[in-house]
Amino acid sequence: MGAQLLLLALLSVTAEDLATDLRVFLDLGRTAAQAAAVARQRAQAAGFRKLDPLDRTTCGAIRPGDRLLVALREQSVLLVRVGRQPGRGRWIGAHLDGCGLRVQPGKIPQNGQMRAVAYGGIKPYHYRDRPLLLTGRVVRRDGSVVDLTLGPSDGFSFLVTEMPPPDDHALRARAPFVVVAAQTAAPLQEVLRTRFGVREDDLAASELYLVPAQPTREVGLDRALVGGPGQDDRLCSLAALRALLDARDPDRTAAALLVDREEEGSHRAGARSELVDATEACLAQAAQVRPGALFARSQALSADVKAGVDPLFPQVHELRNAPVLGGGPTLVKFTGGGWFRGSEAHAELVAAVRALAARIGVPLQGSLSGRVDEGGGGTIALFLAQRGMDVVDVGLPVLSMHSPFEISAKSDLYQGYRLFMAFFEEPVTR
Amino acid sequence: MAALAACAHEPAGSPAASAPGEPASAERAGRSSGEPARPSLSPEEQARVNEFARAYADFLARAKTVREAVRELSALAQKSGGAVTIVEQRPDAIALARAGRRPLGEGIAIVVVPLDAPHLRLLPAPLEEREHFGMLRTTLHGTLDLKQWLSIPLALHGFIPGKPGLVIGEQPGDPVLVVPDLLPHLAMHAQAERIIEPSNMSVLGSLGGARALGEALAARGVPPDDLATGEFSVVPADAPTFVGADRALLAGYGAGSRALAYGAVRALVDAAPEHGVLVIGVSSLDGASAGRPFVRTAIERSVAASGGDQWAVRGLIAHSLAVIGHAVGGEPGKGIALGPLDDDATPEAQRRLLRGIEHGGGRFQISSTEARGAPARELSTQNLDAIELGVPEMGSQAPLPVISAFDLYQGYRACKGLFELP
Repeated sequence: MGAQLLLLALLSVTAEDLATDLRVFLDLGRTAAQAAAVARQRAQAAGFRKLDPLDRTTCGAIRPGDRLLVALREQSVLLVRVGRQPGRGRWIGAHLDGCGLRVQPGKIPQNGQMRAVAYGGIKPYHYRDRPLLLTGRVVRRDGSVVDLTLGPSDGFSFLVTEMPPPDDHALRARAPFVVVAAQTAAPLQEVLRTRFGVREDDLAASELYLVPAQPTREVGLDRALVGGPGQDDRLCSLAALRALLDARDPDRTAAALLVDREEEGSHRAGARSELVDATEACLAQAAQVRPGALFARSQALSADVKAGVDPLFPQVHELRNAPVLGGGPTLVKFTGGGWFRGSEAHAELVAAVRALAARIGVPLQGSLSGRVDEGGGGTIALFLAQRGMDVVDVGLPVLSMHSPFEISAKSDLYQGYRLFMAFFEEPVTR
Repeated sequence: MAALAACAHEPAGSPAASAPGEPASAERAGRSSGEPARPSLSPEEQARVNEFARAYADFLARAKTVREAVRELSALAQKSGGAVTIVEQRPDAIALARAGRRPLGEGIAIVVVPLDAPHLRLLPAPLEEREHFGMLRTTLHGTLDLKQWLSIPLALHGFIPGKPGLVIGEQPGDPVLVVPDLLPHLAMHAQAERIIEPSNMSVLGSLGGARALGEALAARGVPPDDLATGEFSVVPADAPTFVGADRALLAGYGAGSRALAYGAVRALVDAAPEHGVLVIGVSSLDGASAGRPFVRTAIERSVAASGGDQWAVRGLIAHSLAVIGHAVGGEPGKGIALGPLDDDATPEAQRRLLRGIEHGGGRFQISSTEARGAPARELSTQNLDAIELGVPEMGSQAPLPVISAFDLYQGYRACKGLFELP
């Protein structure tokens, strides 16, 4: 009875529900750590229990049907549902970090003008004259942790008023951005001290970002699009998270790896983190296979946004091989413009995903990362492939990628969610 | 004349005088030292500055087009309880008057303010389909830094004769429009020379194609015929916001260009004027003489209302002083900026304005702008002494220009002081 009700509830998930959920996820998760916190809360509410992959005694107790939550240093998260055949796996990797500005740690200059540097590949002009919100974490001298957010709800914003020098090139920033925090240092010091108990000395140990202050919006008179920052790649992260939470008990162990630092090289607790290997070793031990064997018997989707055809600059796309917004998820045979952090999927896996999508009626689009020699971009696919997984890049198309107002189609999120859920649920046939 | 360096002037005995301990800071040229001028205000004074800026931010949020600005200024004038009369109101222009203690023949103070701000305007046949999207073709009104208008939420304001207005994107639940921008990954060739061509500034209106967009507009009461006849402006959807923990700056669409319009009308409502006052809001002062006929009409109407004829009009103009709201540069935080004073007004008229500003306790700077004012020059040909006055603005071509709350308030004080000058 309960299961039937649950099933009904799942079947009634609509594109609008997911779009609303996306906007909540984007508005709550302004940084990777905040998005990871939302993912952890959602998982714990759905019965996931924390697993410490470095604790060998807990690994032996893992059973099929278990829902496990591994926090990778609070900024990334790995969610696992142990399958009936725990020695096989289906993984979806996506990233939680988005582009923005990162505040240089240290004291607030006397003139009230903070310094910030680009996080990820941004166009400097996108961050000028745009109301920004300060958010992140400070660890005080006494070791206590403070999460703070300052922005429009406090009655003001931060603003970059000048392009970082040299400002001769609109696509490149080589020097710090100058951010107006006040006309002198004192007002911000005052707010930090009275609101958060943070003194200036404390700022030396901090991870603070400046992100667009505006909330997400629906775009287009047909309300078919969602606009807001950080959709690269919280869009795919949400689809993977919801798919993992909502999927019926899977045959294979299902895992959603949602990581930080993709835009900066996947270091620290990013996709290259040893904690991913430790978790796999733990799961392998429970499945009574050698470490690495679960990776070797896993297929993975590297889920990252793709450049949808830009209506104002169609010439940069290989139009017959470029996704359009609203056309469904993209399947990418190879990424990276052929050279940059590229990956290439086996034809067998490409065929399997195409067949799966066809069975459930999800439209798939082909995609390359732009025309030959126009540039390109990479994903975390290679870090999954290096571990022995069979990986293919999938993704959802967005417009204005890496800008403070990225745009996605509600229907694409919905179809992506369905595809990811079917990927987790697909039964083992032989 | 050689360009003057910007310098700040401190009225003697003004409440805005520097506090002991930092006497030099207000006089120092801020930019060279990298430190903005910091006028130190008493708490009461600061509270007045803040209150005024908050009210102005509310005004800006409601007045994103010329027509909306006229509506809001008209409503503001009516708060005077009848002391301020609406001499003339058109959809895109308004003239407000208040009688002084002295007869009209002794001259009046006239403030002419533009009400427009740079924006995108829909072409008469705007619907087009590009790569499956429904788009709206636009042209530019005013000077826009186009790259700053990319990838921001935009609202559509439409006026159609005989129909209710169309506003989409201003309420939090409304959808917005956007001119998308190319991702940096693929921009290295396509945007190497120029980020975007003006002719390419089409607004994304729907995921469905042009037909779907046309239907969506028709469903909101705007069939294609109305697109051809109406006025449709595309403006930033974001509300104004204070900048910095001290809320010393205000970023908002039209923040600089409409600052003196608001300040002058507030002063008109609050003042007990010595001479008669006429505040004239016109759609635009750009170009040689866009606002000139309306200024003349407004003066004639106000004279006619007191029984005067064309000779009375000429006599009145000869004894009057016009302040023209115009961006004349200047440094934010150092007070209201006066345009170069040597050209379009007599020294006597210049002194009258400076005395008025001092009378009101306002702080001013004389701008060294090289953009010499066409509006003042045009009005000076009518035998009217004309001086340009503007609130210094950063990013005047950006969607959200930035002004200083302090300067905004000095504009109000300057106008009020001029109106009340004995």
